[in-house]
Amino acid sequence: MERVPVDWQAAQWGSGRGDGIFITIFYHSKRFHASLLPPSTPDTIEGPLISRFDATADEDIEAIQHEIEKLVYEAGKSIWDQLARPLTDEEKPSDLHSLLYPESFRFLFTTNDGKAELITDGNEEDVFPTKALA
Amino acid sequence: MKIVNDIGLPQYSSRESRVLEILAGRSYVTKVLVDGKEMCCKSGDDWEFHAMEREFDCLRKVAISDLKDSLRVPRLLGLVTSAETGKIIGLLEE
Repeated sequence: MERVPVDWQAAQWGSGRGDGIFITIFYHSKRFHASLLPPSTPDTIEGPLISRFDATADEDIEAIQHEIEKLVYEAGKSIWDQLARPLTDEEKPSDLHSLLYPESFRFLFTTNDGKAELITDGNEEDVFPTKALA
Repeated sequence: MKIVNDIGLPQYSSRESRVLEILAGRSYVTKVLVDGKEMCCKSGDDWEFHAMEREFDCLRKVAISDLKDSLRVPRLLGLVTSAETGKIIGLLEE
């Protein structure tokens, strides 16, 4: 499995018992929201992850966070390459607005044929410009 | 953010605030260049607004008190507004 780059940062985590896991990732001046929702079918990758995450005590949470980070990164490898290519110093935005409100995208972590994948969570067209993936 | 600018602080758009350095958090405390001057900027998302409101309240009280020149606290220099909504989203301090 490929190493997660140091600047790919899962900076914010949210969860509610049984509600799923919600991660905000910052990478190359873009923001990605990845959701792991309780699956309606058995034999998924995200189901046991959510159960284990919910059952883990706060002081032990880092280990499973790292495990989830690796799976999310790996599942979205083509997405990062496509939507968050590295920026040159000249391309990096320097204004406060871009830092506070970077271009944002939403994804769902799901299992398809036994493999983890990120699919677009496309309810918010203004947040996720689908054309960017075309 | 519930901040009332009743002490005439200048307001600057988030687009015209250039980030020189991130001092803490992802964007909460930054050194910015605004109107040709370097300042400390505190800004962030909705969940950080409460802390900023409290800080503004404290610094505003100092700014309008007779002790403003003797108390060693950062001076309020301005406010940052969202380039999209016009709402106040940050504080500018020394």
